Amino acid sequence: MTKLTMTVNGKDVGPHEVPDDLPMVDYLNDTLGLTGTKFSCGIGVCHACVVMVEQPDGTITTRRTCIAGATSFAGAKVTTVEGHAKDGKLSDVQQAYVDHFAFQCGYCTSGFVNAGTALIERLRKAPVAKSQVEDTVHSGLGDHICRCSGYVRYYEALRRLILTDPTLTKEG
Amino acid sequence: MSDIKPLWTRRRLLISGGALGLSQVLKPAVAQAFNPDDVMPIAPGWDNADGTDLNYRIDGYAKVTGAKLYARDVRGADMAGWPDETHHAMLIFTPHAKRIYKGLNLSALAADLHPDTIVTADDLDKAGLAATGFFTTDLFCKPGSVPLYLSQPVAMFIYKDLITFKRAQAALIGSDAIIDYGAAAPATSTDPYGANRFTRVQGDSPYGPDVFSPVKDGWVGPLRYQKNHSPVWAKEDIKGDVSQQASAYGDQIRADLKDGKSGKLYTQSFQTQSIDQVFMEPENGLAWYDAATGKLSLMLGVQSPLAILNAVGNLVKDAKASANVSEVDAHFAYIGGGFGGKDHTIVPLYIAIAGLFGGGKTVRLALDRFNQFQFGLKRHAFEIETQMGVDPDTGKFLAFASTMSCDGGGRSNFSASVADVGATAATSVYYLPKSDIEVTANQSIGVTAGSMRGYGTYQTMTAMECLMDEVAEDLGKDPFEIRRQNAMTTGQLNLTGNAASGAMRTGEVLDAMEASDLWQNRAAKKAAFEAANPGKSYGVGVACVMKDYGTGADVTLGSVSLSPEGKITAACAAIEMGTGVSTAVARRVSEYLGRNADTVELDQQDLWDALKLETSGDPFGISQADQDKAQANPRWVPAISSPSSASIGASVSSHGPAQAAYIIMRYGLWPAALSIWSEGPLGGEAAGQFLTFDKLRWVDGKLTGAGMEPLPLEQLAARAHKDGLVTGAMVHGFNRWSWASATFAIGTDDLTTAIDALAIQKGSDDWDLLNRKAIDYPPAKFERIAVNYYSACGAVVALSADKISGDVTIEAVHQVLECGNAIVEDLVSGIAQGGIAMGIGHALHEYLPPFEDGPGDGTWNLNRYIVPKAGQVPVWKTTLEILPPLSETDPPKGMGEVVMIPVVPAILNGINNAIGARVQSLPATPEKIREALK
Ligand code: FES
Ligand code: FES
Repeated sequence: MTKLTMTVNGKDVGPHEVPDDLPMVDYLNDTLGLTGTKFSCGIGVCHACVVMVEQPDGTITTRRTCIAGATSFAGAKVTTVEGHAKDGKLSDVQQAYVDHFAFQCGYCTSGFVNAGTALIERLRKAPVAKSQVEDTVHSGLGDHICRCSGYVRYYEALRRLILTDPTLTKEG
Repeated sequence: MSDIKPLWTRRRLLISGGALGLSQVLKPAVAQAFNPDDVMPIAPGWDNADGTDLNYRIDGYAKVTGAKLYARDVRGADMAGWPDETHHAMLIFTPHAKRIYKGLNLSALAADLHPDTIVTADDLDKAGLAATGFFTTDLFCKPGSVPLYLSQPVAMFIYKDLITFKRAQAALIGSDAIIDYGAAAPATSTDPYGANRFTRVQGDSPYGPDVFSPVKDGWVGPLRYQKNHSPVWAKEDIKGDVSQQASAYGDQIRADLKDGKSGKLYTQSFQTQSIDQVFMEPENGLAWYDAATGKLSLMLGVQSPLAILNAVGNLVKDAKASANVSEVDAHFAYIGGGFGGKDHTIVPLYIAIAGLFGGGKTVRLALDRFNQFQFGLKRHAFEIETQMGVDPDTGKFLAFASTMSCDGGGRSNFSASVADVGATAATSVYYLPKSDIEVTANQSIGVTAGSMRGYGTYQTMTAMECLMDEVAEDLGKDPFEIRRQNAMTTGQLNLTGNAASGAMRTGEVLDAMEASDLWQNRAAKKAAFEAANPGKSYGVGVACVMKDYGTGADVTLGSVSLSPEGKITAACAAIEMGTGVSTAVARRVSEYLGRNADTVELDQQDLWDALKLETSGDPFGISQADQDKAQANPRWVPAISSPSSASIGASVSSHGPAQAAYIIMRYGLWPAALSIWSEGPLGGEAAGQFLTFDKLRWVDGKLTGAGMEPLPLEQLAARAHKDGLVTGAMVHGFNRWSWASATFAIGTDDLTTAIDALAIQKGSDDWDLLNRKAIDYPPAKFERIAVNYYSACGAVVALSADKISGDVTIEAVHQVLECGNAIVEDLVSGIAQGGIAMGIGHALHEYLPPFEDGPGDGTWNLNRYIVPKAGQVPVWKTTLEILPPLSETDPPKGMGEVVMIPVVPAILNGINNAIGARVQSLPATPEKIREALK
């Protein structure tokens, strides 16, 4: 058992007595009631359960919560799909996905929101050449499974978002 | 159960053979966390300011922000009035079906992981619980017997504590150590779930009448089954009964093919594989049984709410005191993917059992992915043996005979129906003057197969499209030329002897495919690709199919209400599977009311009480006499509701709301407009015109026509309410390959339209239920039609095959779709793109061994079952062309299924084009490609 505290969507949570083998997805779903993070394969393949974690240096990474224990997030700054929209206004990535009809059943969407956002944050620090945008989108989303959409609209949405924000790309 | 009282009579559904007398209440999903407002964007923005267009799907905001929408998101604490404390249940499955099951051996599980409650077959017997009707089966294997199939549950474990539950679940993955087995024993082997023979012989004309056909003469089943369970068909006699005639004509077709009397003979052996649906949300649900009140509450995510309610009703109907259910109160959430696998699934029965044995607490039964592979419904694997006779000079098809079987696994589900649908689609888009198809849905010990997107047609049309390519290649004909030459044209009769509804537009689909860049420039692309990629062969394949949609007993329930302020609320009895039915309903209403619905409600079964619907009989099997008798009751309809599927979201589900909106327009807004336009001395601005309803037009969200002042909906709604005109309409419609139509008196007018029940609201009055003055149901014999509504889809696929490894890469896909009026084109194209990815998975990657090494062993998950990720899909090189409708009055056609089919045979044909060898067994794995290359 660990006394667990962390920051989730900007709020401090815990301390909670949590066994070391409790997956983070269950901690989010059942302890915190944040069910936007989805369980699908449970073995780290589909990436439906991905959340964002802010590193001490401010960089954003993603982690699969079905194969990571909740205690491994001790002290971390975690963002789940519930933490992106502010005051009813969608984040750029969320807006891009809805505008482009990216998803259907939506069960995979939280993973794509977090992965897409982490990618955009990465590009803010290290813009890519315009000619690399498609490969870059794939590098951000390529691990995720969506059974409904065929990925086309997720990819196109993110490409359009990247190409319309001049801070995310450079010439080339 | 001895004393079931219909508690809420107004909400009682009278269903023959179902849970008579049981109060069944369908409610919107989670009372606390889910109400219609939750699926609306919190920030305005899903549609444009005047409601005449949309920016994104109506549930887009909720889904992209992680709102609680799915059953998996819900716990007891989320449900108003339920116990907050949630306990957790798991099923214990057996991976063996050839050994005696002796019982549980809990010593193999650490003592601290033992469950708080165990439920076994014995407990169900004691409680008087049993699965009957459609779901008849032993829910748990009884000690001393052989499991009926791989993965049959033997017990349910219920845990009070989540952590203990999780640990036990992890300890039991892929392990049956806690199950004791006895001696080896023969596997269960029964007669097939069904078999039929579809024989047709054309008369003088392809347009009919036929000499013999299923529609003209009736359907034919076997007389009996042999010891080895193969069907015995009637002895042939051309003058005998329908079965004997079918045998006579069918055998003759086969003999003529063999003897070369039906042109050049082509034979094909083709196999398709067992597939998991892999919807992303594994099946799950919550249940709570309150013994004090007898109420069993459920929270589920299924495609077929009413069927599941009936099944739960049947489960408890003979229950003893411990499970004395008097009311089932079910909530149905959005579903995280379904693809057919959440239609008539048995999992909700186990969820109900979890509640009944849950000690008064909320119990959650949520399959994990291993469980879902182990127990979830699978796609039927088909074996297809075909002979086709072709005129070698003209390339015209002369005769077709096929013997096909599919594996339904160990529990009866939709296998017989899947077999029939597959068989009757077997010649795809092509016309055959003579055909004879024998199809059998076999029982096995495999994991149960059921409904899945494509429903048998994916399997049989894939085979046909590959055979088509083979014939073209052999006769030296262009693949488009031979397809055009044989494509069924409008009015020609299909395999069952029925003409398709509406114009056949296959020719246009083929034209568009042929004109595509991938096809036109294939030689140059091949040369460039192979020069840049030594060791790889480039190929292009084409295929064109048309998929029937509808089931022959489809229901629409729709309601539209207009507030005095002009706000539109639409409701429709459908499950949102992700295909966007709620968005489509909001849009479809705008056809008549000038703008989108402001609110859309789904699954509000109690909403339909105003219609007081009653039903009896089986809508598929009812006799004409019974139908004639029953329809005299103005409340009677052949079926109250039907399951949701990807194909009928737009075409069927939105039909009801569209009809309701029309009635408000015709009897509310039109007289309101007339009264406004006629105001003033001498009849106002309307006086100089002869105004008729058909001249009305919505322009920029305002109603005008014949030069009248455009009127906003708010003004019209206010007038309609003030004048007591029609401001709400609730309808039920029924389709058996044709819409039922009825006549209702509204004021002094008689309205005849494609619905069979109607209630209207005038002003702010209560619902006024109208009796139909006349009713015209599609004849009972239309059930024989089997297929009628089609949408067509073709794919051109460019791919490369690695000559050493056998790896196939899909380089580009161009898909052409004919789907009538697409209600929301962005949704249609999204569904089509998803269909392409699923088709790629089926063609190249997805495979489940049928028996002992298959998913029933509990070790399958997405690490070894390959679902395409984006890297396996030509994401940037997928193009879609949707044919424009013939006119703006074309109905929207079901397209959710057809879009995943042609890409599969196009890939197989492309592989042949690339490497010069055919793969006739799905999936086309690298091993098979390497073998073919030898
Ligand atoms: S649920 Fe975590 S990767 Fe699939
Ligand atoms: S939208 Fe359904 S799984 Fe992605």
